[in-house]
Formats: sequence, C-alpha cells, structure tokens
Amino acid sequence: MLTLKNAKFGKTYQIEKIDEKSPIKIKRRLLDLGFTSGQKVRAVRKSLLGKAFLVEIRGYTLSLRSSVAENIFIR
Amino acid sequence: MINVNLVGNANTGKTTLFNSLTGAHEHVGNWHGVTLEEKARRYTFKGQEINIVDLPGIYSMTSLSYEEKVAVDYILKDSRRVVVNICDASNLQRNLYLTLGLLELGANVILAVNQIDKKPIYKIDYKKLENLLGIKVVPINARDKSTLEKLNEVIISAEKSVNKKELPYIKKLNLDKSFVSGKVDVSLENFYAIKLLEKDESIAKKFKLDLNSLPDKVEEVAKARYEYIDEIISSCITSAGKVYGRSKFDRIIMNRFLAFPIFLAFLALAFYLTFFSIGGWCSDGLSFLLDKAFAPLLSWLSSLFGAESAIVSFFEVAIVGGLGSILGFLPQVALLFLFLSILEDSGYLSRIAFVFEDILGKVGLSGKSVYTLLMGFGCSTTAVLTARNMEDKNSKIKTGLLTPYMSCSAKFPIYAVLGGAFFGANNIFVIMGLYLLGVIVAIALSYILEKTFLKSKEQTFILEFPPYRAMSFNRVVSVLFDNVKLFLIRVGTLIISMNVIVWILGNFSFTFSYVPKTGDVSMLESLGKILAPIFIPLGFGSWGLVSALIAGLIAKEVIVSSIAMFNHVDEASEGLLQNSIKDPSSAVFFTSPAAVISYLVFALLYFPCLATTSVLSKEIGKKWTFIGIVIELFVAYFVAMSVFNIARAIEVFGFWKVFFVIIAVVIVICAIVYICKYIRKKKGCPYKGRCNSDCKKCK
Repeated sequence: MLTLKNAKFGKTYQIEKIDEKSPIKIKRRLLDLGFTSGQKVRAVRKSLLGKAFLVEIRGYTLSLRSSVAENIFIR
Repeated sequence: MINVNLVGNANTGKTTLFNSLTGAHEHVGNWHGVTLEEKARRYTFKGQEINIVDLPGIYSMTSLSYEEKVAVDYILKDSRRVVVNICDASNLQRNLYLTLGLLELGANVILAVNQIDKKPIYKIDYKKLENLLGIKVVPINARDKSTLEKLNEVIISAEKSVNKKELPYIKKLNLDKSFVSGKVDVSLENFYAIKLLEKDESIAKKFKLDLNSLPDKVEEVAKARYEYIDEIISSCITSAGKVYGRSKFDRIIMNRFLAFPIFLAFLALAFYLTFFSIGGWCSDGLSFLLDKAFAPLLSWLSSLFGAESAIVSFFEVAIVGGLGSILGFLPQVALLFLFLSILEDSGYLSRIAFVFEDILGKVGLSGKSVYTLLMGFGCSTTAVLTARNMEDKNSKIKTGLLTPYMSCSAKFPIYAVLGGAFFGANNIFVIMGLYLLGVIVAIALSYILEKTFLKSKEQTFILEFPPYRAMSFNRVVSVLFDNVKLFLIRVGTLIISMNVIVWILGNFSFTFSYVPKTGDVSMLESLGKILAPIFIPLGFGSWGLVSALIAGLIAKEVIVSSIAMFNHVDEASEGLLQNSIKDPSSAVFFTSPAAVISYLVFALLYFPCLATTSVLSKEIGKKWTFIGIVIELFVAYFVAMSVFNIARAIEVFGFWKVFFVIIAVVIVICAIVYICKYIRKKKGCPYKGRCNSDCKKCK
C-alpha cells in the first residue's frame, strides 16, 4: 500500500489509516494531530536529503521524519 | 485569589499572553517548546488577585516529551482550576482538539482565541462557538494589552459559572467505566475512561492496569473528536485555514541549493553588524564615556589616599580596568541577543531546522538541536536548558555536551581584546575562524559520539511549521532591555566579585603582604607557576595567562579583566590593555601571534563556565557532565597545540609550504580510509548469514 513516505510532492491524498504496527505513542500523536482516516493530506516538500517531509493537513503545516511518514497509509 | 492555568498548543502565544497579563518578561519565541516548565505569577484585576500559571504547550492530554508531561501533570493535579485555553485563530481546527480534551476532564475552560493577524482571512462566529462548546469564548490579541480587559472580566467571574454541557460524542464511545469507578471522583470518570481507551501509559499505571489488556480504540476516540470539531468549524467559521511553507519566499529559503548559503549570509550579516559595525561603534563610544566618567573619581580617590595606596590601585585596576574592559561590550551583547531573537521569532529557525534535519541526522544531531546550539551563541547556560524538549535521551545528552563549544557572548571580549592587539583590522577573520572552529569541533565530536556511545534513537521529529511573524517595536525594546539588565546584573554581581578575588590573590602574597610595595610573589603568581609548564607546548606558559584561564572558569569574561588587572591597566577602553599584552616588560604578554591564536582557541574550547556546568549536571547527569568536561579539556589542549604548531610553522616556513604539507597529509589520510573501506567491501558483508533482504551493509 502507498505510504506518505512515497507520496508525490505537490499532490493531495486521502489518509487510509495509520499502520496498526506502529508504536502506540506515534500512532496516538499522529491521530491527535489530525491524521484520521479519510482526511485530506498534501505533501509539500522534502528536506535536503529527503528524510524529512513537510505536509499540509487540516489547514496547517507540519514536518515529519520519513520514519514517521512510513506509518501513514494513503491513497 | 483565583488560580488560573494557561493551556494551549505549542506556539500559540501562551507566554506572550502571560507576559501581557502579568507584566513579566518571560522568554518567548516563534518556535515550539520555548516554555519548558510551569511559571506562576500574580496580578490584580479590579481588586481581585489572580495567580496565573504558564504551562508548556501540549497537543492533547496525553504527553510525549518531558515538557508536555510537566503541563499535563500540572493540569491533572488540580483539575478544578480555571483554565484559560489559548487558541491560534488561524488554526482553530487542531487547537480545538485540546479544548475537547480539557472539556472531557470537566475543567472550567475559558477559550481565548488569539488573533494576531491584522487582516484575517477567516471569520469566526464567537456566539455560536460559545453555544456549541458551552464555555465562554473571548477573542484576544495576546500582544495587545487593551484587548485583554474582557478576558480578565471573564476570568474573575469564571469560578461561579460551571460548565455542565455534555459533549455529544462521549455517548457514542460506549465508555467502560468499570476500571475507574470508585477510584476517582465521579465527575472525572469520563476523562479517565477515555484516556484508557487511548492507551495512555501514565493513566494505566495510575489504575495499575496492563496496557496490553486494554482495547485499542485510539483511532476511534480521535475520530470522534475531530468529527465534532468538523461540525463546529463548518457552522462557526468561514474560510478557515492558512498554510505555511508554500509561499514564494519559502520556496527560495528552503531551496535545496540556496538554503545553506542564505542561512550563512544571514549569520555573517548579523555577526558583522553585531561585532564590527554598529555594535563595534557603540562599544567604543561606551568605553570612551566610561573612561570620562571614571577619571574624576580616580583623581578624587588619589587625592584622598595617595596615588600609590592599595585602595586607589584597587579602584584603578579592578573596577576601571577590569570591569570597564567588560562593560564596554554591553552594546554588542545586547545586539547579539537581538539577532538571535529575530531568528527565533520570525519563524525562520523552524524552516532551517526542517531543511537541515537529515544532514544533521548524519552527524547525530537533529533539527531540534539547531535551536539549542544557536542559542549557545548567546549564553550556553540558558541554551542547555532548551535541550529538554528532545524526546531521545542520547540526543539530549549530546546536544547538552556540544553547546559549550559554541562561542558564547562571554567569550567574545577575549577574542576582541587579545586578537585585536595582534591582528588589528584582520581580527575579523580570526574571530570568524574561532566561531567556525567551535562549530566544526562540535560537529566532529557529535559524529564521534554518535558512532560510539551516544547513538541517537530514531526521533519522531514532528514539528509544527509556524507562520512568519515580524517583531513588534515593543518586543525589540523588551529584548534589548532584558539583555542589558541581565548583563548589568552579571557584571555588577558575578564579575565584580571575581575581580575582587583575583585582585586580592594577585596583589597579596601568602604572608599577606601587599606585593607592589614589598616585591614578594603574589598568591596567584605562585599558583600559576605550578601549572604554567603544562601550557608551554601551547605557547603560553606564563603564570598570568594560566591564572586568567583559571579565573575564567567562573565566567569567561574574567579572563580579560584578570589580564587587565595583572598588567595594571586603568582604562576602560581597549588600547592600553592591548599595548600591554604586546609589551615584553608587562606582567602578562604574548610572545607571538601564534601564541595568541593558540590561547584564544584554548579559551574557546576548554571548559564550560561554572553556571553552565551546574545546569548541565542537572540536565544530563553528573557522569556525563564530568565526561564532557574531560573531553573538552583534552580537545582544547590538542586543538590549541595543533593550531599553535601550524601557526608557528607558517611563521617560520611561510604560508604556502605549510598549506601544501597539510593538503598532502589530508590526501594521504583520505586515501588510507578509502583503501580500508575498499578492502572491507571486498571481504563482503560483515553480517553474512545474519542479514535479511534490506541489510544496508550488503548494498
């Protein structure tokens, strides 16, 4: 399945779900920040080596590490 | 007295509001996690005393990092307190998530919607919002005191009004209260039952439950809250949302190729303005004025006690020469802190942290440590505290250990005075080189620590992107005022007492005779002579320079004032002091420019000041502080020795010869490393047989 890590930049996606296998702390924080299923998310840009991502969700901007973005399934 | 907790998401302006309400000057910044622990202060409104507590930012009632735990625990300690929940008007959607968490707790919430934008692109129906949430909603601008009247009115009448509106989604969650009922107050049952659905570790611990036995309904709870928020948003707000990181300006400063040059250019400009142009002029002017002001005092004292007396000498040397040589740097220190605040307040730092996140990750740092390290250019003591908001313990220790390598504002006088004496106008390059050296040493050390005993765990690095914000005039004034005040307090207490101690030790012998009259050996001279031989390989084995370094352990500026005292300099401006350290007939002098550079390098690297050491041992533990200091002493000695010998070689053989030898050595080392790697690669994967398909060593 496609994860936010492999998202194309400048494109908007819909969140499928957060990986059940991800650590509970990360899962809970992502949900707290609004990464709920069905929510629209847009990949904005990445850092120099591509390990950090900038995403837009629920009207604000957030930066994530690729190891976290990996836990977010999108379509 | 009314007790109020100030709660909200990170970077929504809690501390700004706190400062506006109470007249405090707590540190604020456009960065998340500036406030690290609760801060309480009292003020009165219409005769009513209000005790307000500023808490670190949180996203929900479940904590992830240290400072979030501080906030959550504080709210839970007395959940009946009035809570002022400050929200960013441009991002109500996510801010309200925390509000719902507070309402689940049954807290007495007042929603303060912070509108800082002059031309908001959103419109909020506050009456409707009040009805839907069942709480008071007050629009404010945290920076503007005149908008806070209404908030204060609501706060003083808050204790009487109790919110009884039930949140509609709680029924849908089918809460199982069997775990919590009887163990907590009935009104708190909902909150704790929901927290258990969210698998909150600290709450599970409180009820002695096994986390794994609880059902995982984290997503369900979050979804229920956000669905309700969507409902609220769609009926109360038109055109919500504003995103950052996509503007043209952002595209340029976060461009792959431009980001680093732009950042360097900013630093270089700030550096130049602070230390050389504006700052330098102000500093010279201040020194001149100080001399003018001190002169009549000195002549009055000499007429009273005689020019040769100990009292006059004390005033001349310890106060005018010693203190004056440091006081002159006041404008530069204030400007430096202003530039650091601009970096922090504008929102630029978050963008830098993002762009360099992974490059820093390679050397074992993270985007978050950029903040701590940059603050280290101001003052390591306060900078070390900011390492707290790191989730990973190893990264925190590493960042803490590296902060003292950043050239703090107290080290600048040393470079300016000593370097200026020998290098004149070229001193700008020496100083830039020293700043750079500190950064390079820190990065190299971080890399070594990362590869050996302080490997950082994968950090989550979830950082919210703040908007750009211009600094208001009031803020500029308050930053300057605060730092001038701090500097004067420091000079008036710590530095002056150090100067008195150094003066006594430097002017009296162990038999307590006054050295300038009896010609005995002073206490510092006898002590300094014991240690001095150690520093001969570094080029400065004289007792005075070594004693100054020891005095500098308390505060780095004292190095300059001590040298001024040893040489009996009685002027606040730098000229006399600079001439004296070049003159072989002075008590303390440098034999060559190479020795000065070596001394400056050693002063940059050798030891964090006492205040930083004590903060470090609290933050990262005694063991690591000790190890860090030992490393620093070794690194300082080794680097200073190398620099001294290279500089000597340049003096003797000329620049180009030495340059080519160094290049040759570097090439040879690189070749050896490359060959070693090649041989290892030929041997195949070191984890042969144990590696799986995504073994990185194999590829």
